[in-house]
Amino acid sequence: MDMAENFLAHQDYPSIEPNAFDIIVYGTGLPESLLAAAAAAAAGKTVLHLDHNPFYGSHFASLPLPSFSSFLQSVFRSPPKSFSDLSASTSPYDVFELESRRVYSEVEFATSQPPEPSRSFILDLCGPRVVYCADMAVDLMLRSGASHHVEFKSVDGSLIYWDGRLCSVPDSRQAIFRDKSLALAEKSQMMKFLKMVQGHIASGSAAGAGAGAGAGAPEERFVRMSPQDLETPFAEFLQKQHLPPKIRTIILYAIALADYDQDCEGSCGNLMKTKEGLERISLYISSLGRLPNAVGAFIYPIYGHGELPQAFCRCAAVKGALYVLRMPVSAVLLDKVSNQYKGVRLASGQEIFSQHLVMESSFTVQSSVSSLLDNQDFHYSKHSRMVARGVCITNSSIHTDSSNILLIFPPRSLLPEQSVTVRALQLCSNVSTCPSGMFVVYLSTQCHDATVGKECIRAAMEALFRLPDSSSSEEIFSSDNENAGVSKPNLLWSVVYIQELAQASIGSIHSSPMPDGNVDYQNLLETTTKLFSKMYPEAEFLPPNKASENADEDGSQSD
Amino acid sequence: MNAAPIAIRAAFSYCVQQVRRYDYHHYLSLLHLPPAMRRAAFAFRAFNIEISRAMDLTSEPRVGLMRLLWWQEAVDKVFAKKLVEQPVARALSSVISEHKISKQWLKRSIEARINDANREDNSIPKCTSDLEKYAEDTQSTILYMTLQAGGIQSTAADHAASHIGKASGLLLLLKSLPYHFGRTGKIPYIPADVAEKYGLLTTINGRSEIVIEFGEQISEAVFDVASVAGAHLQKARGLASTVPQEAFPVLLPAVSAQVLLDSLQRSHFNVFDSSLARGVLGISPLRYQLKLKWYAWRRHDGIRAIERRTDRRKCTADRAGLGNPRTPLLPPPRPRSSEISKPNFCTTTNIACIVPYADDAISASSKLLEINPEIYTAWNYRKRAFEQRLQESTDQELIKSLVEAELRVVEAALRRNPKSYGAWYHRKWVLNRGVVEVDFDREFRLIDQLLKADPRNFHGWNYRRFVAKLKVVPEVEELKFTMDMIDTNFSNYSAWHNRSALLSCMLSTKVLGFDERAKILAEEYELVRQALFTDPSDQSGWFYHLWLLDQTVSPDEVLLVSTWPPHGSDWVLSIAENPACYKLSQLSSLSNYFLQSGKLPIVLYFNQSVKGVKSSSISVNSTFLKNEDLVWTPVPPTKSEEALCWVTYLHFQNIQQCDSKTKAYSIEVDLDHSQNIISSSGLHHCHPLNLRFHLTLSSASVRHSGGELVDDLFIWNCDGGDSAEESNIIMPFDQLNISGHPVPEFCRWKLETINKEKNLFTEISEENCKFVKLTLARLLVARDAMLSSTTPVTERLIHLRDALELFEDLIKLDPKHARYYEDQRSLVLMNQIQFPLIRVLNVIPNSSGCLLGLETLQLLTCLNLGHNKFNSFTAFGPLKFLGSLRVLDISFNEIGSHSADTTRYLFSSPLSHSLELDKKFTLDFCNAKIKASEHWEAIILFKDLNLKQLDIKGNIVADENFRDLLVKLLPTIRWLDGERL
Repeated sequence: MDMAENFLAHQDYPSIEPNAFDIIVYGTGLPESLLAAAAAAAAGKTVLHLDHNPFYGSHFASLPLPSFSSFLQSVFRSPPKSFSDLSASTSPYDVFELESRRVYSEVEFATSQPPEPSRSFILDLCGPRVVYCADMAVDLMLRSGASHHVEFKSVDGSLIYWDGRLCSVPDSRQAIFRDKSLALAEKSQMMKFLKMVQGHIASGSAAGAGAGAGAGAPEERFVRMSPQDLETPFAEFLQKQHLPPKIRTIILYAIALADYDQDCEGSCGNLMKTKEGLERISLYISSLGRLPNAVGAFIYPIYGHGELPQAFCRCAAVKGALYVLRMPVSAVLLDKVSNQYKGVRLASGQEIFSQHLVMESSFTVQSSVSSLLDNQDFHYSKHSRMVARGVCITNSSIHTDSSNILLIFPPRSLLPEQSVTVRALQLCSNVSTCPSGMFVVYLSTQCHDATVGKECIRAAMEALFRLPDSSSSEEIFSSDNENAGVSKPNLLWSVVYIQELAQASIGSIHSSPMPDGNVDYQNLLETTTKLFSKMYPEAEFLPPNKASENADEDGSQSD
Repeated sequence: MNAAPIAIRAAFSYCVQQVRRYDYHHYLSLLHLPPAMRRAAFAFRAFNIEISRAMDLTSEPRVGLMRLLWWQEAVDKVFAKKLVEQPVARALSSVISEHKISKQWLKRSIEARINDANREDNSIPKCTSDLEKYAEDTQSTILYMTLQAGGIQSTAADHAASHIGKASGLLLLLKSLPYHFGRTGKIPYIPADVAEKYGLLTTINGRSEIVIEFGEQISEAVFDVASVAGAHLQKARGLASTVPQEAFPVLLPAVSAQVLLDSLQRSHFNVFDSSLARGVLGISPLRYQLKLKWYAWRRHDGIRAIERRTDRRKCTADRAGLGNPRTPLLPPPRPRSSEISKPNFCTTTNIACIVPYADDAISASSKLLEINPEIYTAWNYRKRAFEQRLQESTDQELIKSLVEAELRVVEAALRRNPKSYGAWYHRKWVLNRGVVEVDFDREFRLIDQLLKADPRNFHGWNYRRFVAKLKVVPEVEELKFTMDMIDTNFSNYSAWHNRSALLSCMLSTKVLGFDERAKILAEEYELVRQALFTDPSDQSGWFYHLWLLDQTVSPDEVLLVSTWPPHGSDWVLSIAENPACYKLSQLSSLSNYFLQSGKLPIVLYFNQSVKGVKSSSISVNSTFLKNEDLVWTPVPPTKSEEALCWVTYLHFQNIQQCDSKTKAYSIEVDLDHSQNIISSSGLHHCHPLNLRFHLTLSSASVRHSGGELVDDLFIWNCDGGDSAEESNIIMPFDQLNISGHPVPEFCRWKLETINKEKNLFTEISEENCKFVKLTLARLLVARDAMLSSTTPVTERLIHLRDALELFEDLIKLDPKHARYYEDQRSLVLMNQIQFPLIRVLNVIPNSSGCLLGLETLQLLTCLNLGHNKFNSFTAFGPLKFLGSLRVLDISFNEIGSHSADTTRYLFSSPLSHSLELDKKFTLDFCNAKIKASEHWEAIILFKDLNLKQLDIKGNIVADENFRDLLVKLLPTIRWLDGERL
């Protein structure tokens, strides 16, 4: 009660006109913003978009370092429950309190103070994250006009941690040529493989999307792989191509961006099929050189990923969506008879009605009704319920040549118990998230167990940086590091935390996905698209190009 | 019953549309008619369009004729009040139902068109009156009918209409000349009499045709016809006062005729002048409309209007009176032919003629170059103008602005075409003038921009080399630049090429850090390997590799590889009874040679082409000759006086006078330290050498045996029985085993490198990549050449076989370039027999189509090239140098299978094929009814040869006539195709 009164004391909740909308979206994360934009722009619905935070983006936001720290720690507080008692008697509806799930846990800050000015560090909550140039996200932004609100910088390249050293990822013909660390035979094999994949893709596009693996390939050059091959695990397929282990690892984890150890039979649920692997490589290859200024396959938004949800929110606002920040939703109203969703009660006490409600999946209604809002989970993955994330600040670059780089630590490369890829992203000041001369490095790994996850993150940090407290481990590294002359960057500040993964679900109340453990937005966007088409089966999701999206969905479903 | 009026309205609107579309100037004049006549006039004009376009709509004359015949019937039907489902016919029938129109006019105009269409393709109207009649039938009839439709019955009006119709018909025909010329390539509407007058008429196969020369003649002819039209207009003008007022609008086409006439005059009667096609009849549409409006509003007809106009223009028309109709038209001036063929350029050259280097001419040239940078005249003009202005101005600022202007023009031109030779050259020229300091930043920026747009634009690279040289950029920096470009995209042939050029230069001048050839080359090998292994199917890397290989194997010092007679050999020279013949035999072996005309050759064979071999640099010491008398000649003789092989002949005229017939003479050949023997790459021969052989003269008579002196048929020894070492195509080099030759470090490195490369490429050779195989073959050959001194023949044979196999594979793998591989294979085979002392040579069947290098076999007497793939006599060119060749077998080749030998166009200058035939020869051939021109290749080849035996059967060319020719050509021949002559 105190809390709620405090809220009321210094914050006048505005009243919202009208009190009925087609759709209420709660939370301004990327999926919610996208849904709001799609509903407002494409489907022509009236949208009320709410967020209890004073900023846009929710868990997808980029925050100045002090706010970032406080957000990580303070987010557990539950929304005010002030009006629940009052309403029960008067309301013609069943009122269910909204509960907030705990999203961040085990937040561990470095002992050292963050470098000043700390406000000029803008940190992503969901890092490390990049966008493929040929990503659906880029298409959506172009289609919706959100691209006018965001600018991007190129991610210069990828490095892979191999044999205790960071090697560049030869992802294109030119990169293969330049890479001095590859043997001649490896170059030849890598190039042959890429050509084969390109041939496969070309044959697919030539034969038409639906034609399947036809017997008569149009040209001999474009050899399409057999359907049996496509169903085998990708790792096995690569083995069959006689690729050397290093090349295999590069393809699996740095280009196809596989999460789990593909050689481990135990986690068979996560074994990548050849089809999926080839699709991912195809996405990667088509990303290379798609945008004129992008050097590699990935881009990063200037001012951080928080810009993306904001851009979509602006699109929605342009189309008439109503935006209210700092407005917690306290309860959900259900029809007493049919138990159907009717509306929400805001922290201000106002009741707003709508046909649909989309909430961040960190919010749940009381467990008694959760059965009514039957969950239809999207994600098959039952292994990864959490992501361990880390943010580091350094004053020099990991790699001398490039400043914005993606780093891949394949499974088992850091610790024997590391079964998941650890990915890191170093950003320099040219994306305007840190002062010049400083670097921000994001790390993440999916995990089942918080301690293992955090250990992996720490191991990766140790591999990359000279930690201020542990001089001993650094010596071990520098001794087997061949580039002994190049000193590792000093770690100035860091935070490690665990983020719960919550899946999207469809019911009478929809919940939208949380940031996942991937480095890109592919999965999130697919889920969001599906959510939208469930709500408005007749409407297009950010037209004009619905057909291609459907094709994408079909593709992912048949996986 | 509303349907009919609607249909008729639609029909009329169709007519209006057609006229507007295809006959715009008449459309505009028809608008001034009173509404009642307008409908009819549009119908007639549309009808005219239908029949005049009938022939143009189809490329098949008969189809067009069908259309005309259909219209003939349609007119009949229309007048018979039958329905014809065609909008123009509908409109006509509507007009006919309202007005009284004579059928004959319509029929006449169709008939005229049919007659015109029936005209033979190549025939032209006989005289101007034919053309006038045609014009009247097609144009005047329309005016007659329009007058009829307006109910105007006036002889004067009809008369004026006749003249105006003729004038406008004639002028329109002239205007359409370019169209007809473009369509059929002929000039159909200049009457024959006029054409003949100006010498335009030629008669081809009994048909007269007009020759098109874009000179003044055609303009003269056009002028003549136009004058006739002008006379008609004048006559019409004379009738103006009698023509009733209401007829004037009908006669408005006179205005268009006069406008067209004026336009023609402006273009000096050059109907091909593009200005005629502009606007309406060569003037702006607005002006034309205003003109029409003015005369229509003044209620003047065109006729009187023109009168005023001519007055105002002070033409001589009225002064000369109507009696002389031709004077009003100014005859065409005599334009330069270039102006007509290049109308765009007229402005510049014209201005240039009048005011040298005027500002507007210069700016015109810059505009011109912006549009088309390929006009070299304009560039040259600018150069001259620039030069002159430079001389005139002393102000530094002004000079700067001049240079700036030139550079800007070049940049504009390059924007249009970044590969324009003229533009690049102009920029270089301006910068080379050195009048102002070059802004190198700007130049490099320009190059960067261009190379960014197209990194393989060799003009850009070329220019970069130029600028770098001008700025004296250290080569190391440029080398780094090429590396950057290769790093961005290694499929950049230009970058690789520039790198090779820079490196060659740096290695030869031994720039600091580039003096260790082996080290640098090894690094380059490492680099190019990265590219080759990344993408073996990309050819730029392979080219670079080829260059590297060439750098590796090319000899770094001049060496004498072999000689004949060999060092230390003993010879016996026997003098036959026939004083012209000598037998030369070697004591240690059974081999013996016959020398004709008493000449003993001394052959030196170097490892690379050298020049400067003469008696001052090589001394031959012997008792019976003076060194100074010896003449060394390169084999084959070349313009550059460089050759691998050099020959001199010792003469023995005086030997019989020698008393001591059994005395052994020693002959010494000395190559001292002389710097005179220089290779093409500037290296000196610097290994002093002393060779010695002995010669014993013997008076013992020679048995009349051996191939040379006997007229027996030479039988090829196919299984290599008795003269095994000679029939084997692989002859060992008679390598000089001169001790004390240090094997340089570099040589060892070369061999190692080549071995290493060979092993590397053998690894990836299973990929079936043609470049890999070709390079591997080249490596094998190169290695062979290097090892030849030390390895036994048998081992080399194996390598050779490998290389040949690779070429076989390549021919199968890449059939498009099979010929290239075949030639390469021939070269490999031929290179094995470089040693000039083979007497009998059997070339393996089906292996060769190329004889390069064979000319070094100076002692070759018997050559078997049977069952190979030679396809012309030019391929045997090298044989011309083989003076001692007696027996030649070229049977079962492909000579004559191709009518023209295209290869000779690829390799030699056209001048080298001038036929040097004696008059006598030609006369003989004429007598023998042999067309020398058909066989001149054979004649050139055989007239210099002294063959005794020739086999040519199995070639397409070898028929009975050809054998006769051969017998004539080769007086010495005894055996032709195995038959004794």
